[in-house]
Amino acid sequence: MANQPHTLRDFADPPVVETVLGVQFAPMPFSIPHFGLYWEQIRSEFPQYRVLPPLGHVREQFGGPSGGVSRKIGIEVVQDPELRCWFLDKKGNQIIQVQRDRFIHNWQKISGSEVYPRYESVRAKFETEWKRFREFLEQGGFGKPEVNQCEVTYVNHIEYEKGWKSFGELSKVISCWSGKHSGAFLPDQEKVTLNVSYLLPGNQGRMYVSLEPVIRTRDAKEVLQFNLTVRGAPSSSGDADVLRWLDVGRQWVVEGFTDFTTDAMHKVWGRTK
Amino acid sequence: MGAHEMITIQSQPTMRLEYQQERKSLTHFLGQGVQGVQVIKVPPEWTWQVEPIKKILGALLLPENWDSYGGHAPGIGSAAAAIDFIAQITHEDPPRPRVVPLGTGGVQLEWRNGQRELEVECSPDGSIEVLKIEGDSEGEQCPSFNTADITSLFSWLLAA
Amino acid sequence: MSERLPADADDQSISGDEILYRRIPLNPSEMIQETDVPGEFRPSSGNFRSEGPLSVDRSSLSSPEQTRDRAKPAVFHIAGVQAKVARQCGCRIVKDPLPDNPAHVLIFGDHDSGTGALNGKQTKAIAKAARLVLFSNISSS
Repeated sequence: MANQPHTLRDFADPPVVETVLGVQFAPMPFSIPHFGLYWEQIRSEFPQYRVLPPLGHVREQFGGPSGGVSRKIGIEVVQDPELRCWFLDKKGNQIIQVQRDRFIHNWQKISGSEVYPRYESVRAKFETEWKRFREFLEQGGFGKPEVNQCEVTYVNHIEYEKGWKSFGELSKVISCWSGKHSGAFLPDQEKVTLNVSYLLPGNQGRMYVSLEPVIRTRDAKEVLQFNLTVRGAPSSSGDADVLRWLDVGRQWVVEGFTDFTTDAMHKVWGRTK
Repeated sequence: MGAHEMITIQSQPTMRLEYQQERKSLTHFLGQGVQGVQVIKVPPEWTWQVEPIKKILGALLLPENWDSYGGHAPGIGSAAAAIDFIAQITHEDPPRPRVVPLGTGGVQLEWRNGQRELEVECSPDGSIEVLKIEGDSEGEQCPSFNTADITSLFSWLLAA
Repeated sequence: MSERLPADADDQSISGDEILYRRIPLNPSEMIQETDVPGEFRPSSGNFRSEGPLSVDRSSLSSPEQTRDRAKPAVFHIAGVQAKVARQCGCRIVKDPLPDNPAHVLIFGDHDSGTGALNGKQTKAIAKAARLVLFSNISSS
């Protein structure tokens, strides 16, 4: 990474539809009754819930020919069913996701007309809820969570007809996509799905960029989903180090988003810095 | 709507070896990771499927009493069953289905090929009922349709 | 109607030739389809799916416009089908006048299920015989 910019680049109307800040920690013996007890503490602000399958335990690995991610697979001793609970606020814009080794806070657009509340607000909310969750764990005799990964994800929906029309014009959206061929045989691309990863310096983590066509369920609209996920280990489980890592992750997401997309699209999104 | 099919082998003392088989179902396309915003991923092989799926999702936006007879808007259960059905059709270029919301909160998919017609009713509880009609006959009703039979169903439709 | 009717309840004072009207939504456009006769349209069978017996209006007591306008300000097409078509596929027709709609009748399908809703074969038979008698567009209100 070149010189760290003093202020991050910014947009008046970015295509972000969701932000996710999360931590992963060594699994705790957190079981079904504990989800209910925790929900009681937050229910006045998060009155809705959903139950989903759990996310895998994922840790970024470095060194070796291709680095990558280790996922826990194969044989495991399981005493209780594993699950993940979502607790949603009244309008569904905020989600707290909890499982025995994860705590995640999401902000998402529901109606589509919401204005992105900006990172500072989202970070503050994460900090408050993470603290409240940790206090619950300590009161419940679980001890302090040993955080081994932090994760920042931004989900962007790039709509067609706003600066570009089809995958044949992807070069108008993605700065590193030329769309050119060495000959004249191939027609324009019908669809493109892209996955790229970047290594953060000093093995702080890894950024994953993915692009794929999706149909958004809230309005049945086809859009290009452009996700940036930064994942890595904080220096310690302490609050300051966790938040510091999340700030680095967010910096990578914002700067990565800006570098990855074209000046033409920056104009569409109202780049201010 | 199930998430994954699991094969579990139990042996003493208490160890489980679990394989997860992802079936090509709605949850496969929803890709439920950390993301909250719900999307249907469009695999490269989808061509004709996109438009009817957009229409199914559009039906979710109908208001209550949309039909003036107290009709309910289709819910996620009906939509999931309908999208699941479409996703499992292996024929490359079948006739395009009509997508008809039902006042019961279900979604009906309709296909026609010559004298043969299919009506696939997807209910809010995710169950599927199929009506096969040929010509002027009253048709053959198949309640609790098993989606494993989709290929033979479409072979019948396209043989007209 | 909440009382359970006798299984053979069918009001024969409603003639088999009488047309029964049903409102058909404009959206989505696939609620109607063209028949083999160019310019002639019929409703999809989905329009006759309901949780209980099917609500329709008697043409002897309501014009298509009156049936359409009962849903104002919302706008609908109107489809018509002869009562005998419903009876031929095993349905029963019962008067159910309402304070604001004396033309209202109910078509009972599967009486044994307790809901009175029509099954797939019944809705299909009625849909095939029905025809749009009044077209509307958004500006019809």
